Amino acid sequence: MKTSTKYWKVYKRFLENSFSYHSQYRSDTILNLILNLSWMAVVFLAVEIFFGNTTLLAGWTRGETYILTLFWMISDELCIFFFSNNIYTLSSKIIEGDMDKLLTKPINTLFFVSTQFVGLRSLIRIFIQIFALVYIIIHFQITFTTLNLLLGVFFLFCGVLIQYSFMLLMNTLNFWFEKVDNINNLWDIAQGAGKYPIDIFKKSFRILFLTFLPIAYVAYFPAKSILGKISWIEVLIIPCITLFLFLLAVSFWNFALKRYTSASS
Amino acid sequence: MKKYFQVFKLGIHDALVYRARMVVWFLHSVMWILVLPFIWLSIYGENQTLAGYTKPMMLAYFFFIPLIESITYFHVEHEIQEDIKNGNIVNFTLRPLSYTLYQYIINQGYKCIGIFPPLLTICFLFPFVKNTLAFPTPSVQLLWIIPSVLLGGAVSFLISSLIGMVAFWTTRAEWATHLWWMISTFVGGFVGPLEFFPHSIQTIISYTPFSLFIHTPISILLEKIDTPHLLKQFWVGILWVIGLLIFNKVVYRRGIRRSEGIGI
Repeated sequence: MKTSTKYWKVYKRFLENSFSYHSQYRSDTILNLILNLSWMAVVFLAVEIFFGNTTLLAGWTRGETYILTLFWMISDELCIFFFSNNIYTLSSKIIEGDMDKLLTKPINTLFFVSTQFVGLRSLIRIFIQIFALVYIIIHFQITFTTLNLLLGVFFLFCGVLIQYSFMLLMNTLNFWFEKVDNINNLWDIAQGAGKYPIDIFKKSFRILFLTFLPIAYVAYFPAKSILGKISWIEVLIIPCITLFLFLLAVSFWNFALKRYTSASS
Repeated sequence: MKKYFQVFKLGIHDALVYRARMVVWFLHSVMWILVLPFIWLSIYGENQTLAGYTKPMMLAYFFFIPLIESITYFHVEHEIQEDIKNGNIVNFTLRPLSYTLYQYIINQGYKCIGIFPPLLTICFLFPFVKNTLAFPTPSVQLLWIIPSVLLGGAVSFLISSLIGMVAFWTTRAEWATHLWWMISTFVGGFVGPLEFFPHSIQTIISYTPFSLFIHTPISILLEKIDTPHLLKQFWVGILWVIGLLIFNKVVYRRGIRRSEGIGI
């Protein structure tokens, strides 16, 4: 069997398992949806509070800031759909010795630990957020070209891959440090900064958010692309950074895995 | 008393064992103060004062958040949910101590150590930022901060504990945790001083205890709150603590009756 076919079949099984899991918790799914809508309202209220005192946020209008915020939300939901839940449980897998079982499977361990659970609930939320995005574009009369839209979508997925790589890098530290599972909360908070234009920060912070803490790629560049504010240098650099970070994360994972000592028998 | 003192010591030991975890929690709150002041400074633009806050005051507001948060915010919901899910909570019915009080005291022990990272950071940064930030002038008024954080902490603990106990009725209670996080951070004053919120929302918040988590203690530090308002906040807080204590007892009793102790 071809490798890609084998992995697709495994992923399809993961999808089925996740679907049956979510079907068991229907009321929880509805509660989560309501909660998510409330959270969206809170984020928008924060934007309203900021714009209640100013007309421009570092050169970004209210409509543009909403676009940025929605891109950030969609990016977050895509992460939840593809891998967040899996990466979040990586710490317990390493500490409690569950990795032993995974290492014996005839499949790439990283693929297994990253994709085992699919956050299907996110799909509904992504549709709602896309709907809100369309509404904002119409309401604030924001215009863009097809190329800008395609670039925006492409960079959105680059941002998702960057988030995956960064989270993997941080969670791989669990091989050395016990009980630093809350490192994910740290990333959650840090990437929360991505819903605001990074132009508000000082140069040193902007450099930080473009390099060691790659928050700028989550939503800032995708939003900048759709709004036609992106430069060609940025268009060329972003895919290179994405690829570099992904390869770095995978190499670090492989390095750590070689040093894994089982936590239980 | 002796047994609770042992529990307190246990909390200290726990904090010392998982030091890396504690440092990450600290960095977690530092993240807030790194991001939000920039947004607010950008909003200020050329203005020197907005809603009664000067730029140095606004910066000081965010500077003190990690310290106040380390005292007032409790995150016991996850631990309680785990105790309920794995049946461990049933063991507490056989022990001569109150489960709620046990959780409160063990977390206070943890906080005794957890307060050091923000405190040391403030001491370390003080010489560098003393001219940029509006620091409080020593006065008797500052003593109000003690009842303020104690009340805020009690309310935070009781709500967090109630959210943990949701797991008695539903196996999946993460939504409640998220709801609590969302409300407490937004209306607690993490995003910015509550004076910037729309007036209608400010009125609603004044009848809730959430401002005691961050906003009220920092307002005392910045001398931004007058005594009548402060006393009103305290009365609201005390009433909430009493109500939440009663509610906690009722929920625990009903919940423990339902608990089957699976997994013991």
